[in-house]
Parts: sequence; structure tokens; C-alpha cells
Amino acid sequence: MVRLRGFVLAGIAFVACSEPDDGEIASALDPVAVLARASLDLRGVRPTAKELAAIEADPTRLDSMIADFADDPRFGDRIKEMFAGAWRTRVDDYPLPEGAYDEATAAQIMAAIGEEPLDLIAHIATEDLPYTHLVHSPDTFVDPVLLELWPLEAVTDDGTAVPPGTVRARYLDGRPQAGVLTYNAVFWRHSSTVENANRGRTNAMSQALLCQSYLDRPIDFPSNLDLTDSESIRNAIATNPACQGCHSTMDPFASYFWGFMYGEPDAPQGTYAVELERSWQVYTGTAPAFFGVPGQRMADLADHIAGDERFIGCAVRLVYEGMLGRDATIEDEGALAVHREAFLDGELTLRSLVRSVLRDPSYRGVKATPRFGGSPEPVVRKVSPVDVMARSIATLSGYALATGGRPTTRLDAGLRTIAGGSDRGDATNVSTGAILVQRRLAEAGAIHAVDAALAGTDGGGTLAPWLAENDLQVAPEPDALVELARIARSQILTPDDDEILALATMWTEVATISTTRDAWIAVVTTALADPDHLIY
Amino acid sequence: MMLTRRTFLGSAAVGAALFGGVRMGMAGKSDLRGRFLFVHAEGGWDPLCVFAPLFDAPNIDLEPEAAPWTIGGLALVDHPARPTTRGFFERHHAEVALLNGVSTRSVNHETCQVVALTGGTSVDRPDWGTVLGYAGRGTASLPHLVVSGPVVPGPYSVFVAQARGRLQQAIDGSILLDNDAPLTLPAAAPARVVDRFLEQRATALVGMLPNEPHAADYREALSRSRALVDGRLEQQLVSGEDFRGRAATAISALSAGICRCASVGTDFVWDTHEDNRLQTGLFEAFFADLEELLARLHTTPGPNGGVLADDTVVVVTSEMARTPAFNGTGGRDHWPYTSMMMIGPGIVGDRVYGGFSSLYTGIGVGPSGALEPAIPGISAESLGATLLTLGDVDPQEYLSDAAQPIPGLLA
Repeated sequence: MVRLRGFVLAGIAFVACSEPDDGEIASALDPVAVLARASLDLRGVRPTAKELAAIEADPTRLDSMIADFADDPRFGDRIKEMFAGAWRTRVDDYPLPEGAYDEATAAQIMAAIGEEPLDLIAHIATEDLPYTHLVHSPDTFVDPVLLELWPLEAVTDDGTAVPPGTVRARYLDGRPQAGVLTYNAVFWRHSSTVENANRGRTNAMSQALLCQSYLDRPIDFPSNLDLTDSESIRNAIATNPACQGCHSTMDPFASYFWGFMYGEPDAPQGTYAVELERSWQVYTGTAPAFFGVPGQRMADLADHIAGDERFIGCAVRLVYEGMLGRDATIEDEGALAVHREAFLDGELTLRSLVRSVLRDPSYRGVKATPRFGGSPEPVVRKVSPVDVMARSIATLSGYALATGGRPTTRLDAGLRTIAGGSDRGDATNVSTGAILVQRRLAEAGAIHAVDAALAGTDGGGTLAPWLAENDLQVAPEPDALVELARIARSQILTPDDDEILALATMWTEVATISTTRDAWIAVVTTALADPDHLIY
Repeated sequence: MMLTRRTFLGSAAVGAALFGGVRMGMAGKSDLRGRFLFVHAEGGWDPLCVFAPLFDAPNIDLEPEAAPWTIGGLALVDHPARPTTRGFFERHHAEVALLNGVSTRSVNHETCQVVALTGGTSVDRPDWGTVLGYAGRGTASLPHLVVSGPVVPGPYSVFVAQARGRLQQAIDGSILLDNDAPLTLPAAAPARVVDRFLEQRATALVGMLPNEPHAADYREALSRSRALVDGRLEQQLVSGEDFRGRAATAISALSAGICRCASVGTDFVWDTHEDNRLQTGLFEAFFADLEELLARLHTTPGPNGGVLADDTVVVVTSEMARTPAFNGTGGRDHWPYTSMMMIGPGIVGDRVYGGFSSLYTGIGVGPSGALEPAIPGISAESLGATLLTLGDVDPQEYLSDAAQPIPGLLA
């Protein structure tokens, strides 16, 4: 049996306290657990052996070390993932002209489209730009393959870095320059018909930018309301109080988007139609406005959104929920207010926001009352997003499961849905499918890493040096298994720990019924399939 | 009792709480009535083509050649271009409970789906299939198998498996062979040893974190995933290319007792904004498929003897209907009162429940089972209460006290 370690048992005890004003941050997790959690959340990988050793030697370094994780080059990718569920652009397929591209190019294009709004967010995060740049950026950051598909021109860098795999580019078709509000990917993903008059798109924008969905409000249609034809529907929308509750703000918001109306909703165009911008005059008669503030073009909308308090609050909520691995509730409002304040103090840089959440007692498993009130649920364990689990295992093993050049765990037609993910984001609960997926990723990684080591080649993962140090023809020494737990799971065990003894026994059992190769694969598989990778 | 999100957190833990703390892996009742096969006509079908013979309503457009038709207790719409649809009802009207005027409270596909499947607008509440599956988790390794179509697992993710994507390849391991950089498969016997080690780890985790729902869920899910892998030789859980293939997968899983509920979607094809005549072809294909599905249920053995049709209820939904008037392109847009069907044991068929007003809004069912104009349609909660009752689940565990089964529908 596996023996439980005392320090972990002690470490998970709930601590009820008030949030400290300054200085020491309350934590119910041991420093190594916080280090691993923050590393996975901000870099998508586990801490290195060197970082673990540093924390063991001096736990007081924890706060500065995890704050520095936000400076890691991989931070941009993780920020993208925190916002991906809001924008919903990571879908398997986008409609491309039939026969225009070979399979590999089409796959690359479809993956690239999904990243467009997210790469701007990564750029904002890694360059410490204010979050308002999301609706003010004149540029987009795209996979170069999109330069051929859309009316884009690569532009000279301004000295700031661009997200990996992208180029800075600008649309040439006369569209307003308003960041994500004018990105093709957003409108290709959220299509509209003339009849719908961009309302669905407006709701998608409202959800992504303001964290408010009109659809959260159930509609109880009055049974005496005549909605039997288009004209009566238009009348009801304009005059009926129940309809006006949403449409009075939704329809003017939607009037900004007519330049993206396509002749065929299922065949989106790359080119923005400046001449259609005022089509609202024909189809709805509703002039553009943002919650009562009138405007003309998308640049006005961008200014109004950037000045809306909900826009800032929404960014705070998305990052908070992304890092805590659960939805925010009414009990989290006080904590959200604390982080909003930090976000504003940090000039709306995402790093300032992330670092504020890192200091949140809930993030460290502590039940505490924020100074603005509330009783947030502490996060003792959270469920790994699919991407984080897959990346962490791939980084360790050097093997990433891919289909048509795209990560299989990012495709609904692959393993994403099975593992609990979707374009809406990731499940926050453990699922049977996620366990299956983890197991297969673990097996694949273990086979790749061990076989590479047996062949004397570099498997490419962070486990490779450890495998190279071991004689794979014989049983691993307990110290080697301790080191494996350290590298693969950020767990500090001792050679006489029951878990290590059980692992050694397992190696022997497999070697007896199979081969030493299979025994090493089994050992590495257990390390990669461990619950520590799925809940942390 | 209304389950709040907080009480939902941690499905295995909730299972223990609701069912008296029985052993996690086998929690749940084993003597529940019935299995459920949910069929979703995604995109919003047009009841005015088949289910809603509103020929006397001046503001409602019906098709030029459509005609009222009554077969048994069902008043329907007939059309010369839809002989298969007519044939289906000629053969099965006695089994069909037709629900008209079901309110899904929105004109947005996703919201309507959530309402139709859960009774509310929050995705925190699990759908009917998941609740019913969860109640039967003691006997099914994958209580709710979603072959395709919508699902709202809420906090019960452990008990829902999606066959879309490469589930079967994940189960049998062949995904290691079929990817950009193929590998060999791991040997079976060592995999068993790994299984045992991970079970120990899961047990240790639960011991270490007794109050942490994710830990309990992990152990439960690990056990279920192993059961799936163990059964791989008997099953092919694939989301097939067409509806019939997917339905066959669902029926196969029901037959094997892998799941208590299965869900299958038709693909998102019913959203006929631009040419409503397309509904004819869709209904014809759909009822041919449904005929085939019912025939399979009558010939496929159930896991406890007999055939699946003995204890499997087919629930046919479409998240919304279409506007009563044709739009400028000959299509119909979204409408919040729709029709659904229930077919199978335990229900009173050959009847229409609920109805539509002359403005095409819903009319509900009064306590006597008759139409009650004061009730604005059949609520999705009422639909849910009916299904849960049919499946031996107390609706009050999940729904408001006001949610009652549709009067007269349960046998």
C-alpha cells in the first residue's frame, strides 16, 4: 500500500482566516504544491528539478519564483488558453473554398484562424500592453498561412515581440482598426444571417468582452403576443417591454457589424464590406450604439467597450476562473474586486492581474474572507485543462499526439471532447474520458521516451536525461524512482516511501511477466498517468 | 430538494450523499426501470409539416398541399411528398405520445437545447439522460453514452462519455497506431499491473483528501475507464458517419448494458432559414431512420433478457420549432414552442399532449390531461419530471416542486 506523507496531510487542512493585508500569504498547500500549480498554470509545464531544489532549500523564495513564471515565454500560450473558451474560435473546421487547399494546408489554415484573437491576447500579455489594446490594436498576429487567405499584409515590427509562429499583419480592405472587433476569425466563427441581423454575433461579443450573455435570461414569450410573421416580430422587438429588455441594447450593438455580413452565412468572405456598414438602415432601422451611447463606426464601439467597467471586470473574471479552475460565484465577488483593483493599479497588464491571483488565498487552498467580503471556495485540487495535461505530458516525454499536424487533444474529432474540453473551454470536473485520454497520452509518452533511450537517442523530453542515466536492462534503484517522482510529478518522496517501494515491486512484476523494456515503460507510464497530472 | 451547484460539486461525492454512501464504484440502484434512447433533431424542425395541423389559424402558413390527417388518436399534417412519414404513423401511432407546444424559452439553438434537456438555462444542471444514467450508474460503466448530439453533463462528467471523436480508439488503444507518429501498442499484461498501481494511487488520494470531490471523482472515473477498456472486444463505440450508424452504436451499447441512456443527434440539418421545403426530405429520412431504430429495438436483446424494446423509451426532441410564417426566402426562422415524441413502454401512446394556439404559442396540459389554455405550453421541467418519474428518479431531487409529470402520459 501507498503510505501517505505527513506533510501533505498537514498541508491540506483548511485554514480559515482573513486575507492578510501584506507580506506573508496564507497557504494550505505546501510550497512545492503551489510551485507546481503555478508552473502548470502559467507555463503549462511542471517545475524543473532545479526549481524544486530551490524551494526545498528556501521556501521563502516561493512568491518571487512563481511571480517570475509570468515572464516565461510560455506564459502567452497559457493566457491564450484562459481566454479561448470566451472567444470560442478553436473549432475543428472553418469553411474554406472547396478544393482550394490540400489537406495539410487546410488543417494549418483552420488551426490558424482559431488562434487569431487569442494571439492578440498573448501579445498584450507578454508585452505588458494595457488590456484595452484588445479593441484598439491596429494589427493582428497571424500564422503566415493566413496572409494568402485574407487581405492581410505583413507589417514591420515595432520592436515588440510577436507570439511564436505568427507575424504582425494589418488588414488592407479599409476595415476600421479596432483589434478583435475587426478580426475575420471572430466573424467567421460567429456567423449571422440578414434575418438575425448580427444579434448572435453581438451576444458572442458580449460574452467574450463583457462576460454577459443575453441568453442567460430565459424568455417567457407572452402567449397573447402575435409573433406570427416578420413584421409582427419587428414590432414586438421595438415595442414590447419583455422583448425590449434585451433588444433595446442588443440591436444597436449589433448594428456595428454589418460590414461583416456575408452573402452566404456558411461561405464567409475574407474581405470586409465597407459599403455594407450602414445596412442597418435597410434591415433594422436601428442606429449603432453601445448601451445607449451612440456611435458611427467600429472605432467608436472600441472606445465605448474599452471604457466600460464590465470589460475590465470580465478580464478579471476569466483569468480568475482560469487559474482557480472553477466558475466564480457570488461568494467570489469580493476576491474579484481585489484583483480588479490590482489590475487597475498594474495599468491593465495581464501580468499584474495574474500575479494578484497568485497571491489569492483561494488559489493556495485557504478559506479566507477577502477585504471586500465574500467567502470564496478554496481550491484544494483543480482539474487540469486538456491542453495543460497534454502539454505537460508531452514536455516530459518528448512525444505529442498529433493528427494532421494538429494536437489531437485540441480537436473535437480527436480527443478534446472525450477529455472534457470544447470550444467553450474545459470541464472543471473529472471525467471518465479524461482518464482514458490521460492514460493513452501516458502510454504513448512512455513508449516513445523509453524506446528512444534504449536506442541511445534523445527522446526530446525532460525525462530523457533521467532515462539516459539509468541502465534500462536492470531494475531501477529506489533513488531513481524518487527522482522520477520529482521530475514527472513534482513530488518529493524518499527511497523508503511506500509508494517508491510499490513502484519497484511493480517493475519487478512486469519484468517477470514481460520484458525489462516493458517494465520501464510501465514505470514511466505510471508517472505520466498519475492523478497528479489530472488534478493538481 | 433543489440541487444547487454547491451540492452538485463532485459527482461521486453527491452519489454517496444521495444514495447513502454506498461503495463509490457501484453506487446507485440496480433495479431501476427502463433504458432511454434520446434522439435529437438538431437545428429546429418544423412541427407545421407533421405535428401541428393548424389549418384554421389565419396567421399560420402551412404548405400548399398539406392536409389534416388523423390516425388513431393523433391529429397530424399529411403531405403527398411525405409518404414515409405517413407510413411511420400508420404503423406506430399507437406507441407514440406526441407532445405539442413544448416551451424551450428562447430562439437561440444552444439555449433552447439546454432548456429542452435540463429544464433550465444553466449548464450546471445535468440533462435528463445524464440524471437517468447517473441513477443507474451501479449497473452501467458508461451511464450516459453520447454518441452524437448535445449533452449537458453538469457536474456528472464522470458518468457521461462522448463517442464523438476517437473514443473507440482511446478505448482500444489504437490511437497510438493511428496518428502522425505511430507507436507500438503497450503490452496487455503489463497494462494490468499499471492499472493496479493507479488504483492504489487513487485510493491513497481519496484517503489523503477525503473531503475533496475531485479525488473521489478520480477514483470513480478510473474504475469506469478500466471497465470500458475491459469491454473493448465486445463494443465498437464510434460516432458513425450517418444517423443509422450512430443509432446502431447506441443500441449496441444499450444492449450490452454499458449504458442506461444513449443520445444520438441527427446532425445540425434542420435549421431551414432559407428554404423550408427542405424539411420534407429531412422528415422523410428521419422517419425512415426512426422506423429502422424501432425495428432494431424489437430485435436486439436487452442486457437482462427479452429485447430492448421491452424496457427502452425513445425520446425524440428538437430544441425549437420554426416561425409560423414563411420569411422572404421561403424559409422559417426560430420559434420557441416545439413538438417532441416519446415512444416505448410505460407511456400512454396514441395521444397528443399539449397543443398550439392560433398564434402558435403553446397550450399546456391541465390536471385532467386535457388542454389548459391558461398554461403556456408544456414546460421542459414537466417533460423532465415525466422522464425522471419514468426512470424511477424522484423529480424533486432535481427540479422545482412545481415540476410535475405531464398528466395522463405515464401508464
